[in-house]
Amino acid sequence: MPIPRRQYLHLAPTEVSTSRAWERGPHYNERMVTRRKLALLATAGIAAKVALAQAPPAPARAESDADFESARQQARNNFQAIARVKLPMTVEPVTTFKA
Amino acid sequence: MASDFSKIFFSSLTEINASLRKREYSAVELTKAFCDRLEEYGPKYNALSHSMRKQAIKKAKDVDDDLKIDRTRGPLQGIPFGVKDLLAVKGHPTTWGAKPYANQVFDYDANIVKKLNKVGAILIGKLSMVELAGGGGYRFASASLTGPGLNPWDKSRWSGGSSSGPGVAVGAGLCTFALGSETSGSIITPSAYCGVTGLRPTYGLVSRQGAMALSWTLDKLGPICRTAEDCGHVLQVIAGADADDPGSAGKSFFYTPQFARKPQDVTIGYAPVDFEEYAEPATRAAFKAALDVVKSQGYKFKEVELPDFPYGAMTSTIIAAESASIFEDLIKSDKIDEMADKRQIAGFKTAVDTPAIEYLRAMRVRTLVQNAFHDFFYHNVDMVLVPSRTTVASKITDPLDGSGGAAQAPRPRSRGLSGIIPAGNLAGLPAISAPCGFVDGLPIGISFVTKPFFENQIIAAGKLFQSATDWHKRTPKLEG
Repeated sequence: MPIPRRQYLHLAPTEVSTSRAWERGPHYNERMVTRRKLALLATAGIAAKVALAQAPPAPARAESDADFESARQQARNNFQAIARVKLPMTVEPVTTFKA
Repeated sequence: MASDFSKIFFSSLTEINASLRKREYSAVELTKAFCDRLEEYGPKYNALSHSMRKQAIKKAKDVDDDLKIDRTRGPLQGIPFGVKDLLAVKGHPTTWGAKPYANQVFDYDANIVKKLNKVGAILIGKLSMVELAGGGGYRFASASLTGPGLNPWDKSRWSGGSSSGPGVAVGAGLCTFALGSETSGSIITPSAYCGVTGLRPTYGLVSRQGAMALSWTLDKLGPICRTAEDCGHVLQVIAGADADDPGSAGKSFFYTPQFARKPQDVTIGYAPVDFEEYAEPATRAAFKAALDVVKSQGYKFKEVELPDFPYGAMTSTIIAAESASIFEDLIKSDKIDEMADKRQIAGFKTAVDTPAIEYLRAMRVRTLVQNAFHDFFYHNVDMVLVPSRTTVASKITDPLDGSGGAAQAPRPRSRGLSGIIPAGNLAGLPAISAPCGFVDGLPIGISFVTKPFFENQIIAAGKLFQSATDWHKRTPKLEG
């Protein structure tokens, strides 16, 4: 049964995007693929692929993360401890070990 | 000439060599007995990487032929020994203790293996080790292709590492001496934990040609023996200039106990805080007793402290940068994930990102360390005496990085000589660790550390200490 024009004007835009939508069941518009939806889906797909490519590989086990963090923290602590030693510019790295 | 080898397994190399010359038993009999023992107990204590029985017996026959015509080649002739599995032996697997290298075979012998072969020493086996000498920083004793090194005094305890196999094999009487390597603590630690005598030579004194590299500027090879005197005999053979080792100091070593200075002419530095506070409470009485023995031998004593530097941080940074370069291909491949210890894998992978500036800073501070030790030894004391390790061997299941939640001990009142292991390695100093007592059935050791190329001085001190004690003569009861 046709919807009176007065009611028709109050419908949401999706509900009027196709003709005779009211005749095709309550979820017709959700199932139907429009050009706009296709464009959105395509963009989202590419974005998802880019996001996946940029994401770091998932760690095999949670324990590995802790191991890496422990190793990095240890290295940072070492660098800081060494940096506290005052080094005059004239001090060169050890190159000979003939004591 | 059948002989009871049960005592011979724990004899010093000079005693065994004397018996061989007297024909109390043949080199073949001796070698077979040691090979049997190594093959029986080696796997039970995770000490054996690869038996070399066939080659050893062939070599022993040559030694017997030499001895029959009185062709003597020195005190190492006919002595069964083992090498840490980071030394190349032609045609035999050299695993570096790590699964990614389980099938690695070299077509040459390491130069020090050749030297020992020349004087008639008999290589009976390659001994286990911590994977890649532990350069990535391992958390558990099980970080090895062969499993955790089990302490001959208590199988539930660790042997120490990374020269775990050499420590266990000598401690359990599976060979008379062994060759280990040290980058920072890898000879001293297993020697202390297994109740044997280990010598870390001056950097550059012993050629590393044919040995796995972990850190070009820190790696050293040295003997693990029953006595200080044995260390002197082995060092004399393996030391010497080598054009094939860029780090070679171009110096030889002659073991000359006859020229040792009298104790009255020698000043030993020590820090009471090492024995009273850094040492684990249960070990303090034994360490103090050992200190008293040395004090009673006539040396002059002086209280000292180490120059103030972040030694541990420096060795870790240098090892990280150099080992990452050495093992870059492994680290960037999937093969590294085959290693046993997760923390060590993470350590190696992280080490690749060590900034050049951090490495160079550590190496510049190392210049200051070397200068400071020059002053320390030339104007202060002749050598220092410290506990080799301040604890007994840990349980094999305990984490080694202190993450096990052990209670924090109160901070000692001063620095003392704690940190002498990384400090001594940074400055290339020689050290000898000798057994000095037992705590709860587990051995502990003391170390003498001196200036570069003064090995004779610390060997003499170790020998004198062992003439007054019998800790080095104790033998463990092995479990089947």
